[in-house]
This record gives sequence, structure tokens and C-alpha cells, in this order.
Amino acid sequence: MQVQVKLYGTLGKWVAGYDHRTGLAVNVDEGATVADLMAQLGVPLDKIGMVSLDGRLVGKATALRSGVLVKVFHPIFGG
Amino acid sequence: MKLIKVDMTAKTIRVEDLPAAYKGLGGRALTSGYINDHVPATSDALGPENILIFAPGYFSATPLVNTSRLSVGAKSPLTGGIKESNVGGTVAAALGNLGISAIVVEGQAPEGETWLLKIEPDGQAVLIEGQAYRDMRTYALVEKLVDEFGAKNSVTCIGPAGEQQLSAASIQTTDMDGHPCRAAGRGGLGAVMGAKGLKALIVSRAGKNADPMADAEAFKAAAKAYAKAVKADEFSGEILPALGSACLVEAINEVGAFPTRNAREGQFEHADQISGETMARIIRERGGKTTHKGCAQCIIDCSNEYVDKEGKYVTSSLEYETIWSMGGMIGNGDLDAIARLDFLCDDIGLDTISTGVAIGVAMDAGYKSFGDAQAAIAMVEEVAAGTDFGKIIGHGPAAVGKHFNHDRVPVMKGQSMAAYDPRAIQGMAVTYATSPMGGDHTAGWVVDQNLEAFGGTLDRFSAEGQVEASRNTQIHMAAVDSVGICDFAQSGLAAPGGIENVYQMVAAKSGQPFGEEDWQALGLRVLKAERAFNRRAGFTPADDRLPRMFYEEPLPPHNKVVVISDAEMEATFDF
Ligand code: SF4
Repeated sequence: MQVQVKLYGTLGKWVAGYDHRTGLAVNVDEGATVADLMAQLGVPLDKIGMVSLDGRLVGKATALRSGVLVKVFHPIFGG
Repeated sequence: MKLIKVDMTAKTIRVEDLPAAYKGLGGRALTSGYINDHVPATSDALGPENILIFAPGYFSATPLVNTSRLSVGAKSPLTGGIKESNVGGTVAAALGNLGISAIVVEGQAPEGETWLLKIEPDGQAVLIEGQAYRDMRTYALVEKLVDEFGAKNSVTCIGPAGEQQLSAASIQTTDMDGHPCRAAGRGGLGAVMGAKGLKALIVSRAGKNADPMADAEAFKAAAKAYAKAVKADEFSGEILPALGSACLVEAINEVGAFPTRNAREGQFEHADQISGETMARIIRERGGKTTHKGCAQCIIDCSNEYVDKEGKYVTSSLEYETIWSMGGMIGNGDLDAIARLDFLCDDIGLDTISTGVAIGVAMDAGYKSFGDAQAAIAMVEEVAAGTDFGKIIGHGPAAVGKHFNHDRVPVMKGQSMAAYDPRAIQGMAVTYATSPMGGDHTAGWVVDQNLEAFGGTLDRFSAEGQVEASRNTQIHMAAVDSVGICDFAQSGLAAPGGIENVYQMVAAKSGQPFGEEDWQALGLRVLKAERAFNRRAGFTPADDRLPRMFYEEPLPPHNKVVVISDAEMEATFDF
């Protein structure tokens, strides 16, 4: 199945040629989780603050659904 | 360790040693302590009894990075309580290098008089008649002051809003490039400066007389370790340089905490047009600057220079809070218009947060449509022009609400909240309600605990743990604002051994032992002084609340309200 991925902040550096305007279309295995997707893309989990699937925050063990929009954010600090 | 006292009534200047009671203090600890000790709490904030005090942080002009932070204190005309507003740029380092711990401005020049206060390279202060600078906007003012006095000065000044003594007036100060784009925005301190008759403070950057260190070597070693941690941290070492604080737009919007259209919604459909990612791309494409040094001794460079389609300067440091107040809050998805509004506020001397929220309230009341950026620009221009409606906008959101008899006004103690809706991050409800500063995000930013580790180590919709988080952060921040470390360099504090480095630096400068208990005591001392002042000014526990809209109107998309009880609010500070 395929999912759409957007990487925020400077997380795009982990994927060669990442263009934030288009994001990525990624093919993943059925039953793949957020953590599996990140491993496939090469984004280390400790660089991630939060992930949303179609606007809902999820944990790293959450399973992906076909066609879902995955937004990946860096940890935030400061104010 | 000099204290310069300027009496604007008598036009006299006295230079004293910093009184023993304030030894070892800087920044907010010094300004809030001094105001609490010397200003009658029920006095008129715009009268001669109020005092305006400028104090660099305790670490300003030391070898530690990111420490050019100036605290400005007074009784606030906006909240009626005590105020400390801090700002970067070059002035704090300049004052520190002159050996000046504080400048105290007392009394009041007769109405119609305009004065400049100049601090010479030897630390002497002079008052200069400044009628020729009256009513000038800040960019033109700084240009003229540079012509007259040279470029090796930092300028801290007010624009027309401060001269009109409007409650949302800021004090602007110059950045590394000499642009008056850095603001002590909150609390209307520009109006206090205007009421004193002081248009600008011109401080020589040539000082070589910083306070001596008890143990310079120990300080240097700890400062070096601290700087290394700031550089090594992903957020301060990589994300802030690339995107600035605007990197927060998409994240806060995604979690539904981005107050939109006067906080009717928590998500803005055009967030991607005004995000840090988009801003950085536009700046790059047009030949502007990301990764820009705004303040002296900064190694993060969170600032930027936003340019127009022709590559011409529009404004410097377009930041998250302004992108929100002039963007989502007024329903405006046009980043060029936001940049223009940011420039206008800096130039006229207005707090971008209070002004954007004031415009949002006016739009919510039906005065103009949400999203009408041209109407927003016109409203800000009216402030400079001094029209009746301009004055209402310039007095901030509460004044606008009163004018339209509209009760959806997101202010606490008269000051507007910032870019985090408390219904979607409950800890911010505690900070907004209980901070002696009024609605203020820097006083106790607890967003990270509520979002980190894939959705928060605290449940952001529940009251549990939020009071404690806010209390601890407010105490900690009161200490941070006193030593004068930039918020964004706090990564150095959070790193292993980071806070110990800070204790060591305080000890190395003062020659006195300093540890965790002293750090806590410093933060508590500040908050106690501020709360004591506010109590004498007439504040009661009933003022530590939010407006009704936050308890009654569920915020889409999560449809939550604030669930922190009054008793919990009151338990935040039991002193
Ligand atoms: S990180 Fe930004 S605000 Fe902080 S000192 Fe540097 S330029 Fe100034």
C-alpha cells in the first residue's frame, strides 16, 4: 500500500532529494507501523517529536492505513 | 556594578554603586525587585511615580554565548501590575561592557518635551534635548541617530505608539545590523517610556569595563561546555538556524493549538502558506537571509531577513508569535502581508502580539472580515496617524473589546495570550492565568512536555500534572530571565550537566557558592516580589483566571475546553 509523507523542520535531510512542497509517496508493506516507515526512510526515531496520521497524533507502534497522510515533526523547544 | 539614576523631572543624573540589596542580581530579578521596592503599586503607570528600569542579565557581557538579554521593568499600563519584558539585540552586552547593572528612569519630563539619554564609552550618561526626533518612526529615528552620533551605538527607543502612551506600545532595540527590529513588546512599556519623555536610549558599544569575575577561568570553562551543548542540540544547532521560531507553525497547528480567527478554531487551513518551511524557501528564493544573527554573542542565529519579490528588505526576524498574531489569529494566509505588518509594528513601536490580537478582536466583532490583510495594515497605520480608532487598536485587545462591546477577548490580566491555545495545551492555561505578567507564553512555556515523545509525557487535555509543570517552569524561567540567557539557548541547560554549568558560572562570577537550591530561591524571589506588587496593586486570586470563552467554547478540531479548576489555579503559587 502507499502512504503520503511530509517531513517537517530539517527532517527532510534524511531522504535524498526530499522536496517539501510535494512530500513523498512511499510504498510500505501491509501492516507496517510508523516505526517501520521511519526505518524504511532512514529517519532515526530519536529525531522525531511527534507523528500524525490524517491529523491525529499517534505513537510509533501505530499501524499505517493505505492512502493516509503521515506528518513527521521534530521535537520542539523554546517558546 | 553601577546604577545610573535619571530624574526626568529635574533632568539630573546620578551614578551610584549598585545597592547592596541588589548585589548579584541582574535582569528580571533586578527589575522586578527594584520596581516592587520603589514604585507605589497603586500609582498611575503613566505618571511620575512609576519607574522604568533597564537591566542587562547577570551573564550579559560575560564570555557565555546568547546572553545579550535586556530586562525592562515598570508598572504596566496594560495590566496594571508589575512588568518585566526582555529583549535581545546588542544593548544588554553594551551596558554590561560599560559596567552598568541598571539604568533607572524616574519622574517625568513636562508634556511636549522629548529627550535622548546617551551613555558614553566611559560610562557617563547625558540627557540630550531631542525635539527634532519627536514623532519619528523607529527606522528613520535610528538612521538619524546614527548620522548624529555614529554607528558604534545600540539604540533602544520608542515609536509614535509609545509617544502617544498607548498600552500596546513596545520598546524597540537595534539588532546586529542596526535595525530597530527587536522588541520588548509586552506590557506596554513603550508607553511608560513615552510618558517619561524619553524617546531613545543610545548606548556606546565601545565599553571595556565589564564587571570583574571572581574566577574567570572557571567561568570560561563552564561557558565553553554550555556553548558546546547549544551547538550539539538538534533544535538550537540546526532547526532554529534553518527556520527560526517559525518552525513551530506547522507543529502547533497540527495539534490543533494554533488559535485561529480570534481563537474560534485551533487549526488554520492556510498554515502551510505561513509556515517556517515556506518562509525559509521564500527567503532563499528571493535572496534574503535565513540563519541571521540578531543578537550579540549569539551562536544560534534564529533570526532572518525577509525580503520582497525584488529582494528588498522588508523586516527582520519574522517570528512564530508574529506569524500567528498577524496570520492565523486574523485569518490571514499571506506571508508578505504578515512581514509588512511585522515591519509596521516595529517601525511604529507596537507589540506584534497585542496588536494582532486587537485586530483579531475587531474582526471578530464584525468591524472587518477575517483574512482582510489590507484592512489589518490600515488599522496599524491608523495607530501611527493617531486617529481615535487607531488609539483603540494601540491600547490592545481589551480596549477593542470594550469599544465594540464584544466579550470574546483572549486576555489575562489585560494582556493577550500568545500563540498556544490553552484549550489544546492545558498547561498553558495555568501559565496564562497565574503568571504575574498576565497572558504570556515565555513566563512558563510547557508546550514541550505536552507534545514530546509522540504526543506528550503529559496528557495535554487533562489537568493532571499541568499545575506542577507550569509552577516549576515559571520558577525556572524567572531565574533564566535574571541571568539573561536567551530562551532558545536553553538547550544548553537541558543537556546533561547543563544546569550545573549555569550554577558554576554564577558562582564563578560572584565568588559565592551557588547550587540548585539557590537557583530555585532566585526564581521564587522574583515571583514573590512580582506577586507582592500585584497584590498591593489590587489583584486577587480571582484575577488568576481565563476569560469565559476558554471554559465555555469547545475549540475545534478537538472540541475541548479548559479543565483546570479555580482551586488548582490558586494552588499554583501558595505565596
Ligand atoms: S537565538 Fe535568536 S533571539 Fe536568541 S540570541 Fe540568537 S538571534 Fe537572538
